[in-house]
Amino acid sequence: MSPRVRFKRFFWFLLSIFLGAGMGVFYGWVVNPVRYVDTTPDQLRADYQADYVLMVAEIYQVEKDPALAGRQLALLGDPQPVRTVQRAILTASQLGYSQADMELLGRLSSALETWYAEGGP
Amino acid sequence: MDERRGPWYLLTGLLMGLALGLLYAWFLDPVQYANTSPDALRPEFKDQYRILIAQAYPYSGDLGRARGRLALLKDDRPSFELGAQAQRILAAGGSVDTARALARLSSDLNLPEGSLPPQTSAGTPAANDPALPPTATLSPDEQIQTPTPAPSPTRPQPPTFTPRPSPTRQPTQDAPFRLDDQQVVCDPQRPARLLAVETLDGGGNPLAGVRIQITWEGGENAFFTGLYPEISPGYADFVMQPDVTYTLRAGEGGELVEGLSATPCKDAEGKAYLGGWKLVFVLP
Repeated sequence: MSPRVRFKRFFWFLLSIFLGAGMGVFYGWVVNPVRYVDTTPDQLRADYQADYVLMVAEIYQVEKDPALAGRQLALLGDPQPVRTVQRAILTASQLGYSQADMELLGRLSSALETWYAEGGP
Repeated sequence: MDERRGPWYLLTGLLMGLALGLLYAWFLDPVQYANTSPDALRPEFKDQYRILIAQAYPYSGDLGRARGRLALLKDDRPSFELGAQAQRILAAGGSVDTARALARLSSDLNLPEGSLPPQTSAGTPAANDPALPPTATLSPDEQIQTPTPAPSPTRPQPPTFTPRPSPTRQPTQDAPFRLDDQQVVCDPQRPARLLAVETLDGGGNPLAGVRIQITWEGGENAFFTGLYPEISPGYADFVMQPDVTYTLRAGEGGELVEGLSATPCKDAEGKAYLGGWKLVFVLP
């Protein structure tokens, strides 16, 4: 086989590898991506996290227990629950939460800040 | 000889590439779901999510909001899941309050639309119900960072109206439930030795979340109405052991019913079996 033919065959071989790799990535990322079915709350999308925090705020209004709220918020991954609430407030304001819901979130944030200032957990 | 090999080397290259591509896409750099939805949560976190929904529900009394939140979990039968979880908690000796909250929401989900008391909205209604995709206005660091499935086009739940302290019915645990009816149940179609309890309010409506205390020599147990909403929101049951006599009370301050035990019955063919009781308690 002449060097030219050998080079040509090598070129097409290499090209087919790239083509196959592209097809594999497309299949693995788009057609049949890895499915996560056992996720944790900290992986929730920001709007779901905001609603999660709102639920915690609603429960706080009944229980008045910042430690409980702190434990519930800890599932969202941030070691500082106040930051979690503040992020939720930002998201909630972007999503147009009602004023009452915003106030609930704000009260939870204040309560947690006070609680931490007084010694926290 | 080389010339006769034909184009098979191309297929070999393609397969090699495909394998490399899949290796990369599935193992080396798989799709990262940094923005998942509640239905993808691990089962124990789904349980935690249901508890949050149930505990938040009494604050707003907003069944629509609770329904919307439960829908995010994509349970086939949300009411059943809530009841089953309440039973699991009780069976594991967990928090009675948590089980009660789950049972109550489970029960309310089965109520017909409009049967709950109207909400007393002290605040302003939600100004708008944003129809924009929820991630449309998020800051860049909150956006999807890697390829993900198409996000839900709507918010998890619409902010319906301002939640305010619960105006919904709250079964009073120390209410003096009175025994209204007591019947032997001999029905071979029903589970043997079944002690069925139903609690009703003053208007005859089923009352969920009432604690039923049952004691016997050397033991006691508690269960709640509302865990079988498909039967009745006020229904609860307990399977008695043969040759054991039970004493039962509905609520903390209810009438005590003594001497309950599995009752001898006969089926249509004259064969003996142990039947049960049906007790109906009402609030005076």
